[in-house]
Amino acid sequence: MSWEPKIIAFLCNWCSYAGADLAGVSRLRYPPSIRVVRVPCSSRVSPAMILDALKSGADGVLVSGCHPGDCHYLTGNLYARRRFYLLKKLLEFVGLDPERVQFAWVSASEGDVFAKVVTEVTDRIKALGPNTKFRKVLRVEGKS
Amino acid sequence: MYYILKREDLRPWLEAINREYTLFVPRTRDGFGPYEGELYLEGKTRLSAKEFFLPWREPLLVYEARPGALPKVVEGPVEKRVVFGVRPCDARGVILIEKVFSPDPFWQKRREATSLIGLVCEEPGTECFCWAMGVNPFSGEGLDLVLVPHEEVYLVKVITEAGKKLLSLSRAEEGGEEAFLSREKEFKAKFPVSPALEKLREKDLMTIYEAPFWEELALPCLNCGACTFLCPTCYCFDVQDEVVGSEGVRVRLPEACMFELYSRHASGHNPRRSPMARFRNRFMHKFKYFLDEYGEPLCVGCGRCNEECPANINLWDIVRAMSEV
Amino acid sequence: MSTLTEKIREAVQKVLAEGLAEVVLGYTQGSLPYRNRVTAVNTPEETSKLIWPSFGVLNPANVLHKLKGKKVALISPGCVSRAVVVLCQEGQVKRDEVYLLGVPCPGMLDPSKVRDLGKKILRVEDDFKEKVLVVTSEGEKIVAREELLRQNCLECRHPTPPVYDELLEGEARKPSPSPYQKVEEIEAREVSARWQWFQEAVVSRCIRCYACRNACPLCYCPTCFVDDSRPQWVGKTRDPVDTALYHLVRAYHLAGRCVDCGSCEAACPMDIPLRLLTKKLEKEALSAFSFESGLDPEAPLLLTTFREEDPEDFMITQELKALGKI
Repeated sequence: MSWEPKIIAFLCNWCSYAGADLAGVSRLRYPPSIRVVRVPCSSRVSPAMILDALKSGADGVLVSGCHPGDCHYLTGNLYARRRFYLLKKLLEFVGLDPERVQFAWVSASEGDVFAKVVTEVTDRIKALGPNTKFRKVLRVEGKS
Repeated sequence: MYYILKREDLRPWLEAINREYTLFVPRTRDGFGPYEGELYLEGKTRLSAKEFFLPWREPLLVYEARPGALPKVVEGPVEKRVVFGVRPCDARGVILIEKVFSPDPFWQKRREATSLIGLVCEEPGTECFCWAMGVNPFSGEGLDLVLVPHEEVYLVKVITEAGKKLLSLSRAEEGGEEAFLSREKEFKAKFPVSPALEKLREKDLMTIYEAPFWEELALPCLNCGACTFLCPTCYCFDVQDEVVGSEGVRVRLPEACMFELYSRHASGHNPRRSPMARFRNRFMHKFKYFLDEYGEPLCVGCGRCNEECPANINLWDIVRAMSEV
Repeated sequence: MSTLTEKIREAVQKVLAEGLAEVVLGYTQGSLPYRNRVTAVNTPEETSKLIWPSFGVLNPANVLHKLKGKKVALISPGCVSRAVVVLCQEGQVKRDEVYLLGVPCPGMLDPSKVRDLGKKILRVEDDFKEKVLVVTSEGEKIVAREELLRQNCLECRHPTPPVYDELLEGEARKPSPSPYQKVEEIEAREVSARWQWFQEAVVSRCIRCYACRNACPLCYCPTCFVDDSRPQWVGKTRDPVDTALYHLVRAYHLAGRCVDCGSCEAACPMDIPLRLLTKKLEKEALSAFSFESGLDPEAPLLLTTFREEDPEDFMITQELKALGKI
């Protein structure tokens, strides 16, 4: 059996979650790699949540929100965009595989886009292999 | 019993020990590590030897996070190990911590499995004051062997049977007692115990506690854990559950009384809420509570706190203020 | 005595006498020739303990939270002034409750660079311009100031305080022409080499003493995310993943806020190059958002504002669009 990555997907309630729903009702195929966490807005997702997902064993993280201009809260996604830009640059800087953390805009009508994004993200993380760098492993033996 | 070891015979001796035991040495100024050739003997290390007995992470229990599962006690390390190059101040620190930790099974296992070979400093470091705290580096307290660098050789004093066995792996020859004792005498004459200790013993606890100087002295303090984590005598700890999935490990780890979290109760109440109160506690513990309880200050004068304190807090400013209030 | 020290004492006497502030934060001589200490002065008589330091490595703005309710004056080189500006922007300090006694900063010396010049350092004489005389147990050395400066001073973009109530006369260093050279050296490495650097230089060295956090003038959260227990974001041991998470989030929390005073790095007892993480974020904020922190108390903060044209080519949807896949 081939290894399937585990990807935590933080989807905004108003667009991307509905987009994922549409992909489902449209019977679009995409890899069963994501575990969805519904959030009120992409700007609800803090860097600590993304890193905590990786630490707890996720192989990748996808954060998806409304397109600019479509945010239910008008500008939440625009604040989020700045934050994610900086986070991505910081993770790249310390050599954490940048492909493991991905950001997307998916609207409620873009079921096809959602399926393609998940497929693409899954392929890229598959190419990287399991997350070993940032996964917490319990050690029982004490460090002298 | 006294021996003389030529300096060029040190490395072959360490190699010999390393063949029979797991040998740790000061590798760089940072601290100790397994012997792989690197050896730092110019001064004391930044991280003290206390980590061999109070490690950064001591697993106590392992458990499965499901109903009815019983936790299992972690079997401590049993591998025999030797630590070379322990400064007498650090060894003295172990003795002081043992006053509190002697009933602890994890401590006991580590103590039984570990032999310490001491190394007296060539000369006192910039911030050192072991003598002021009543430490005699030549005594060998807490050690199995103590080495004194002397001209082209090391003068060696055997303290324990285990130490004697370790020394038998070297080319050391009997002798050097006179030189050793005269070095010790010289040291004692030159470096007296601080009179502040006697004054602290006699001072009323509440007088020091309520003294007005604390606020001023604590002002620059960052309340970080640098001093406590580098200190060879600070032993306060935290117990944490680390859980990943359904597997859990309960670990013990060093904790600093300078942290707000350290004294915060489950209710949210914190008896040492102010930074000053936490600052005061650290020094009251070292120079009054411990002194009253065990007759000795909880300080070995290694000077690491003075050297590394980010805010340049100097221990003597505080000891002086406490003893003269 | 340096003339800057004289000017400072004179100015502080005036500040206290005229009631412009109740207490003044500055520096005094430390316990070693290469250490200085942050100190508070409450009366004109105490001003004689103030000095213009060679080794003022901690930011006195960090002490402001201990003096809440008092009007405080700060001896302010660029980075102290900028830290106070950020505190004002974030509503932690009111601009009219602090008095900034600006000093054009000639840069501070790095205590460890000086310490390493000899077995015992007996005396340090700094001309605050070109040369430093260091008297060691082995003899005297005259060293070019540039060689002994702290890294953040070498990379400083604002030695002269951008905001002040009064500016003392003096000559500041020129703003650094290449503030991001060290960051670029890391950036140029391969992913795996960067990870190795992060593990060796930062993660494995960290003893979790939080000196970096506590020294930071801008880390003021009543409960740090590190101390949260529900959820517990960060484990407390020196576990490499927990430690990495701590350092990433700590640096990230300073994005668009850090004024590069270098207190974190100076405070670290394990010599971790902490500034590289915050400096990287500073570089990104400048290049992607033309943003610099701590220049104007009225300006919005980096992360409480946005521009429609902010970069988004890092997003996978934009990447797929560019490739014609969606």
